[in-house]
Amino acid sequence: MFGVGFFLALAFALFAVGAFGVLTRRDPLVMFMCIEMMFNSGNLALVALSRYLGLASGHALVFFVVAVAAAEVAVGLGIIIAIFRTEKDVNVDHLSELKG
Amino acid sequence: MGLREVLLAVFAFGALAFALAVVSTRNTVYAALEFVAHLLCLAALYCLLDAPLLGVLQVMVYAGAIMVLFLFAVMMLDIQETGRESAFQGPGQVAGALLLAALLFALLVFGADRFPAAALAPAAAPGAPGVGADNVVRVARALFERGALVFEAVGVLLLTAVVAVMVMAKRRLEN
Amino acid sequence: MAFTVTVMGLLIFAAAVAANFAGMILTSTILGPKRRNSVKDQPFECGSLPVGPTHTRFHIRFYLTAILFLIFDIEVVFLYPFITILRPELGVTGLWIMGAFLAVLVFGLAYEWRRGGMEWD
Repeated sequence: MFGVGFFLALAFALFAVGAFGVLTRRDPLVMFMCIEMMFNSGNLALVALSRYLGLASGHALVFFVVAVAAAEVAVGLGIIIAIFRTEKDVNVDHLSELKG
Repeated sequence: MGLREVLLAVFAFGALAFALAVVSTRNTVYAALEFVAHLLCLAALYCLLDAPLLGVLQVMVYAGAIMVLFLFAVMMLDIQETGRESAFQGPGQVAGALLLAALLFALLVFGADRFPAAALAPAAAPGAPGVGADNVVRVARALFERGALVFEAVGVLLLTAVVAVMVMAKRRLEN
Repeated sequence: MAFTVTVMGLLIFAAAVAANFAGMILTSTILGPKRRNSVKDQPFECGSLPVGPTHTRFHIRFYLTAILFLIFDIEVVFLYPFITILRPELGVTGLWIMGAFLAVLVFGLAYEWRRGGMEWD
């Protein structure tokens, strides 16, 4: 039952849940967490396939993904905080500054 | 059903359940804590999937550092003002998003199913040590022998992140 | 595989603790009497009356410190697998690889220091 297919299905389900969260939530922080969830589902798929194929390079890839995610979170949260400082409002539906 | 299977089932269920909790909780702080639980479940899964180094990485970096950053951000944005009255989009959008997410899941499963099985054949001969044996050394080889250039690029990326955050936060400190 | 077996005990323990917590909270929610009044709903502040809201805003300096922590956390995480193969396999080349990485990160630290990101007033 717990073959590579199970973990791939779990990763796909987590990816779908994350996408659903990004589409439905209004709080930018929760949307950001959902994006992280999609990152993590990719990592889970990499780990499962690494084990199945007996290769360690997937693990190295996960290392890089986590490092990139850390940099992304640092800058992304900084941007959210900066927006909040100027707008006093973090409802994403009200952020129309960039509208053409 | 052995012990390992029971643990896999528990933590796989936990990962999915906490993920659903994150998207359905109104309070941002609760969502962040449920996300930590989700990440810990994933770390346990990594350990069970012969990736102990990644399990530790997940706990140290994701659950430890990244989520602390999230909680700081939650506390810096005054939660009481963040539009508590509507944590979700309208019902129409929620239904549409549900449909889209289901489609996405179906598409991924369909795509993985159509993937040629020959490309997914285990590379290691049966009986050869898997990823679990000497895990740290094997990951280190992949990281620093073949991935050395990527590793340096990650260093530059982290430098960029530090400078960017500094510029954004510093402007705030000055006024 | 050896690690998997070792860590299994820890994971069983974690699952058991989670089940125990959930069970205790659930049991006390079901069985316990619930008598709410306004005094009980107040936040407890060492017996004195609560002053001000509980949601206080943190200063952005904490965020800068946390960013520094995050960056160097990543660095340490990369150092650990590096050390395991430095002597037997990488040798001097490895020192150059890690030296360049560390130099880049120290440059970031120096920048933050120069711009006053570490001053606390």
